[in-house]
Amino acid sequence: MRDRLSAVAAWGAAGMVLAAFAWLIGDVLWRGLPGLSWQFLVSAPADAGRAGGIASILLATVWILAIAIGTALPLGLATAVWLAEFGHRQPRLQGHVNHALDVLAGVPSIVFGLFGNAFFAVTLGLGFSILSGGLTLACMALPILVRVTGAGLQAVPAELRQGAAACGLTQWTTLSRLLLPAALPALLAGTLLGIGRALAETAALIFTSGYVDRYPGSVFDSARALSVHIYDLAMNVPGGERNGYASALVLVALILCINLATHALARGWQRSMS
Amino acid sequence: MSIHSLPTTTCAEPVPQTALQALDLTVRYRGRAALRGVNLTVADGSVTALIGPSGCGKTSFLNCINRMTDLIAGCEVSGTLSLFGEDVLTDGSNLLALRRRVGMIFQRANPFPLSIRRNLDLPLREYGIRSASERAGRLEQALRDVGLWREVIDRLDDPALALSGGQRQRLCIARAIALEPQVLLMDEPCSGLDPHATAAIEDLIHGWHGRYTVLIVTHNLAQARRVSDHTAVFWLQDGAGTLVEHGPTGALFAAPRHPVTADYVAGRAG
Repeated sequence: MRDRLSAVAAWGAAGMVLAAFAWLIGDVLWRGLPGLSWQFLVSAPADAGRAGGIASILLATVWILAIAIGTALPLGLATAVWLAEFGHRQPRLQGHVNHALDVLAGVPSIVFGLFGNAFFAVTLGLGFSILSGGLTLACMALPILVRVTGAGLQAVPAELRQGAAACGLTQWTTLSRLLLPAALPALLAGTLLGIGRALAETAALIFTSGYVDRYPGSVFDSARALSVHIYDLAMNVPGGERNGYASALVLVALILCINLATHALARGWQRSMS
Repeated sequence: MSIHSLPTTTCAEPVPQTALQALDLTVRYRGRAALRGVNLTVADGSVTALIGPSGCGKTSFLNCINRMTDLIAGCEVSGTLSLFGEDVLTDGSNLLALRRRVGMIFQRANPFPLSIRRNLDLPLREYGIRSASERAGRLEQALRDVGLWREVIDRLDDPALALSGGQRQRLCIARAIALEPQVLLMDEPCSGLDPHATAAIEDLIHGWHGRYTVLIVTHNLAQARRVSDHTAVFWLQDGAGTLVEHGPTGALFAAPRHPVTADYVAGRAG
């Protein structure tokens, strides 16, 4: 009897997860599809977003993402390489870096937003801008990138390192010719996960890249990311629901694509490792 | 690391016949001795088999010779170890140069996940051989030396991981000898191979007499008798591995002096 109950509970829980997912996707599709059109994607918003499309918003989102990933990728890669290949020489520092990454990964995004505002926008004088937003997102994406890339490096078989050392290869050659190529799929997966997280981010951007829905002219302009646009249409613009849902549909579709790509990469990676 | 100044290890008077000399060599992992007080002299161009049960320090001993011990966190080596009269264990010694003089073959063949050609080309390039034709020549010679040339001549750019187990191990040997080492360390090189592939590698070792100084760890006593001129028996004593007996292979198997050696080679222990 108890077995049956627990089985029912487990199946029920799994079913609820699926149902919640289906409901969410269905709802966004149901309410978003009517507003979605080619014209919606290529025209600028008008009347505070009630009319027009999201072209300038998409452009701003791409810029913010580019800055976030362009900053986080080299930093994250270098950190992961240091942790995996050199950190053991300074175990204390290694411990501190690991701890810092764990804390960073757990910091709520609103706190990142406040930090980004205080540091990038005010202290560094970047103001509400694509640059402030992108750099704030870079801080958020960093822990994911480091963790996934580090896992990729650690998954490289020890025999490979031993073989390289026994042949008298320098650490740089070992890293650049053997270890990084082996860890490349993990690096790509980490980048995609980082993009996924950055794309979905709202709270951190409200305080850093701001609300302005015009086409951005440079990285120093304030601009509105897709998630902020959805938030604004839903909360601050009466009559903005239709375009809000259409924007949400675009965002969900983008994130699903990224998820699928990450899974495909991870599968390919596991196959190449075995 | 403590350095004893012993007359036999000074650079001024190198002993020409001696390739390797260990004096009171001790290896500790996180403070615990795994190998204690090994004294062993290995003649240039000879083949020495290291035998004994698992966990008695044979691999630790090999790892000291090309300083693979440096890669192991918490590993500490003391005593002296000299290679053709030069101290190996000094901190300042050139590690990369040492590892080019001392090649190593592992229990599991570990070719790089690159093409067959790149497996040899990468270390040769790193070795500073700029000329592509010289690298190609060394590649061909090394692959011929291990009997792999005919088997791979038309697929040098195929992935090395597509080779069979025996071929992979011979590729790793080619990778090591392409650098023209003086010493080859082989850590159970045949344990994962079938008898045919094992015989191919034993043939190679036979052909190396006088050319390379070979130290081979093996659990196969028949193999030790077949390939080596000297045998060193390692055993666990007081919780740490140590060298209990060393001598010419024929004499050691025929008339072992140490009781554990007698039991081991007769199959009564180990």
